[in-house]
Amino acid sequence: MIKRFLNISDLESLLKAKSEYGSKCKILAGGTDLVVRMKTDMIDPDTILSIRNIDEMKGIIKGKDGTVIGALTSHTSIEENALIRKQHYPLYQGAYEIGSPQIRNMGTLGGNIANASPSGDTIAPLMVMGAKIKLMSRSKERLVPVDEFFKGPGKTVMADDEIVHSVIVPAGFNKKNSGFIKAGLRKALSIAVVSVGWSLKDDKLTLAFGGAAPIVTVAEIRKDCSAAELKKKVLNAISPISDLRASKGYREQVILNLVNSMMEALN
Amino acid sequence: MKIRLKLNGSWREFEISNDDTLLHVLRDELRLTGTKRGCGNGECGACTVILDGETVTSCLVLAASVDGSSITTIEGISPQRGLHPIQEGLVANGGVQCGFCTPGFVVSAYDFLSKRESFTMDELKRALSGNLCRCTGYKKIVEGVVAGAEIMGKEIEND
Repeated sequence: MIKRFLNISDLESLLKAKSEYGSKCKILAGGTDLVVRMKTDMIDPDTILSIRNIDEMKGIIKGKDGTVIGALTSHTSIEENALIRKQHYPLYQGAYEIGSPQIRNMGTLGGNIANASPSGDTIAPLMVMGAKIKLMSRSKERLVPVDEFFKGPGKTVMADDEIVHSVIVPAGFNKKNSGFIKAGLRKALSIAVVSVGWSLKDDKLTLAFGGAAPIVTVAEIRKDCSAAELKKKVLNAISPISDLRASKGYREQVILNLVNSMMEALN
Repeated sequence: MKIRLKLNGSWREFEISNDDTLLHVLRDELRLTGTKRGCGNGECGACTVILDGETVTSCLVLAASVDGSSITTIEGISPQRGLHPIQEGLVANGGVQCGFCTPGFVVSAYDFLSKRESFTMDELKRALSGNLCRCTGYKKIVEGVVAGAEIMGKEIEND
């Protein structure tokens, strides 16, 4: 039962409310995760801070350290943005693969990050591009590299009074030097069984694995490494579980297959 | 709490509770039962409506969060008399069997077609990918929407 429902339309009020209600409140952005979890009684928040009308947290702009994407930007807006497609190709692919048109219209980048699902489709792309997450509270703001942000399924480094404000993504990741591949059980509306993001800089290949460990994990390898070394590094980076979508062995094999086909395309 | 919605073109005000979904308000309070309740988890698309110009699954929208928004349901698309071209196309092509998914498909197709003058078949199929149908196998639905699009004067491009 929601005791208090606050519709918030500016950032300052959001930071104030978050410092006041802290762990007692949940932020409602697109609702595609939160409302499902409320319906299945996984959570029962006392206070909801609804932020869909905070326009200053929406949008994609070119900054000096990369592209700044507001936390409330929808997956549809990301997928349809020309700058994202040109400079942040893996994120375009990740957003493209999410859910369905309806879910992409509702769901937001900040929500995908803050929910910290091990298989969030935007997370592996952000990892291989070295994105930073801007957190804000009433008293301070800080930038956290995306590979230090996640602590476990649903767990992050965020304090109770903090919100995800935006994401800063370095530019220069195009179709030729980066990508994201997802293996799901069907095309639309599937949660990834596993996914792989990749980027290549000089000879260094960065790989990120979704759905294969409690958090999205990263491995760095040389582009010309041997097949045996590649396999060892990939398997070291992941620790998949067996669940209703797939078994541990299946996940390992699919990840290796995705990595191998990516390497073949690259060489 | 009290909310105001621009529902199918006219402003309405009503009392809701904090936990109500938009779907619940539409069906059970306003008796707009064209919007269907399917999975309740945002996966089947039977409850699709247009919220501020974009399709959403209304089962995942908390009504309290959309105070002041504009909403179009199937009742706002289907004319008072007769059928919308998309509905005509579906009927003529056997795109309706049990009919439960149909309003959701019509809303998704309407939103897609009203935003463009031309489209490819891949784009259309992707636009309908958030709606599930257990009867038709989709082929006839796609053909029905294409027929509707032609009545609406839209152009179909090669993929």
